Amino acid sequence: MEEYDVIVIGAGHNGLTVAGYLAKAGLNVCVLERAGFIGGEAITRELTVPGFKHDRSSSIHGLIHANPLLLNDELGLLSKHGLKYIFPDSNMSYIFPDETSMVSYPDLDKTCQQIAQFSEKDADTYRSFCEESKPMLDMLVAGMFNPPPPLGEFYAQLDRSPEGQQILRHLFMSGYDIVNKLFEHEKTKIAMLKFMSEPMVAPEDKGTAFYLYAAIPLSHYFPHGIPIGGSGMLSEALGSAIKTYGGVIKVASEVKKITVKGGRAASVILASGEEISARRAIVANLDPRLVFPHMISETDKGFAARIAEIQDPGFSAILQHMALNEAPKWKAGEHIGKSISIEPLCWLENLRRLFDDLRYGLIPSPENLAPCIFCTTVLDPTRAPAGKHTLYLWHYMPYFLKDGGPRKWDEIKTQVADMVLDKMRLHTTNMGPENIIARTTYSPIDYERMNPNVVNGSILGPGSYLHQFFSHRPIPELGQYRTPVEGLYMSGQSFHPGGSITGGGRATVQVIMADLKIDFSNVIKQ
Amino acid sequence: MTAIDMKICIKCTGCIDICPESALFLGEDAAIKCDYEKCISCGDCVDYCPVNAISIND
Ligand SMILES: Cc1cc2nc3c(=O)[nH]c(=O)nc-3n(C[C@H](O)[C@H](O)[C@H](O)COP(=O)(O)OP(=O)(O)OC[C@H]3O[C@@H](n4cnc5c(N)ncnc54)[C@H](O)[C@@H]3O)c2cc1C
Ligand code: SF4
Ligand code: SF4
Repeated sequence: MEEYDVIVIGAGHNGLTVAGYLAKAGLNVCVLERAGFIGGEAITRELTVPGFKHDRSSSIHGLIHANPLLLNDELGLLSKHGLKYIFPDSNMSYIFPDETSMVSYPDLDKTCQQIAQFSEKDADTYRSFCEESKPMLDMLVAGMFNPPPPLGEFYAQLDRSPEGQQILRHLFMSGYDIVNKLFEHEKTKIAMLKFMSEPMVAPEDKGTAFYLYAAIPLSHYFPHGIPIGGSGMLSEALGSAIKTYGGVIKVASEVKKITVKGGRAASVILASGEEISARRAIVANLDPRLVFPHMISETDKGFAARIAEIQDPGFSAILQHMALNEAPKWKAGEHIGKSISIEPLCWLENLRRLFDDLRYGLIPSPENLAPCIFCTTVLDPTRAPAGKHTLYLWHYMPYFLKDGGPRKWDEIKTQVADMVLDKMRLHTTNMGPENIIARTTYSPIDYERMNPNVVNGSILGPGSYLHQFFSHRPIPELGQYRTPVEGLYMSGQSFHPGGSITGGGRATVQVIMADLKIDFSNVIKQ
Repeated sequence: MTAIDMKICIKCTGCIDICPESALFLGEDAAIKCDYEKCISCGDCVDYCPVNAISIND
């Protein structure tokens, strides 16, 4: 039987990050991946016609730029393994139904000027909001790539000062409550609410104001970037680092079972029947609902019940990939096309109704649509044949449809995709059939089919709710990556710091190394 | 012979990398294709396909 020090199940970017640090520490590591390629939701592939490379899932990398993995290049991804980022001048362009627009730049002053087109007061409020959230943001960022602080301690820390208490009060409110309190102009409100919903949260749910405080100021301190060549280049760089440190990656190797011997996680059994054993640890980079009880049954009933309580986000999304002859031409102006994300919005009441539609399992009405559009080839032409472009057209959608459940998606996917494309057509002049060479659409259920880790179409893993936060993500018992089975650890988007491209495996690996008596600070110094 | 039903296929493209013989590829016509010279009818792609779009007939 093959044997390694550590087995990592699932070559998503978080699993690869865990494996990278462990291999750097000198452990004999093996990563097992179900698909025929590595990267999970950080992959770039030809999905429409040959020559056009699309980010099948994640595209924009934000949080990971605050991670010492890249900040200090701890695994040499930037200096030795070919990972290079483009940081565009503008993050987001919001287009309103009347073709006016608001651009969000990493530069705070420029963003405030954009807001001031509509309201000087909102521009001033935005500036002070970003500046005042800085101390909390620093606290958050400091804790993000390390094992999570106990949830209660985070609250307690805020509770110690009047400013902190004010933030704490706000955190439990909804994003909508706060946006209404702070801003006066409808356009500012719409843009802020759309932005803060990106962690797949409905802005009127209580406890979502957190994302206003975190995501919006963060975009000014750590600008969004895209890897040259696509999101998958991060995974490729991680794969290359693992191999350089002596690790092994096996694709087309689906894990079916984890065996326990003498109370310890001992080996894994693949779909092929092959058994591979682990001397020191097994790390499952998966949603715990895929592991307990499917891969491992040695846990008590209470634990199983708590796993079953994990809450999904309120909605999923539909994503269309297109191969284009030319980049979209925006009616709101040429400058719009230079942003990473272009977002034609609806009016405030419609935006509120959009989230109601999602809540009730309905396909949103055309007047409530607010898509997200990336044409990354404008910024990175290496992803398409010369002069041609790729398009990523994204829209929130329910996973469970009121009429017909998730399977109903197979019948209506193209029709819904057309409706979203029509919304884009309202704001562009060249998105007719002559510009579209080919299109591939993925519905919420397709994401789960392609990667079982997208449980119930949950794009970022278990819902980003305050009760599934920090050391409580996704349940308190698993919040420090340890499990009831000795030697078995969990990692990935289902755990702190949560969904998105974060390189959050850096936090997980510190707990594993502490148990294995390896000094993490020494490993990162090398 | 491996047949891919493009009415069912969601174009996840996963079968392309699963195939041990590199027989599957994305065609210029936007469909998933099989190079029959290379295919050994092992069935790995059939097992992998999440929507059962692939079948092997004699
Ligand atoms: C459509 C979509 C768009 C997104 N857009 C963005 C974005 O623009 N920016 C952003 O920051 N984030 C985005 N995200 C979120 C981000 O991509 C994910 O949160 C992140 O990639 C998750 O990484 P992970 O390593 O935790 O999990 P995953 O990437 O899901 O990795 C899990 C891996 O385990 C494998 N696996 C599953 N079961 C088994 C098994 N039994 N045996 C072996 N292997 C197995 C899977 O194949 C997969 O490779 C998006 C996600 C989706 C789905
Ligand atoms: S049957 Fe085997 S060899 Fe043939 S295409 Fe499928 S995976 Fe490839
Ligand atoms: S695995 Fe199935 S769904 Fe995916 S591309 Fe191949 S045939 Fe299509």
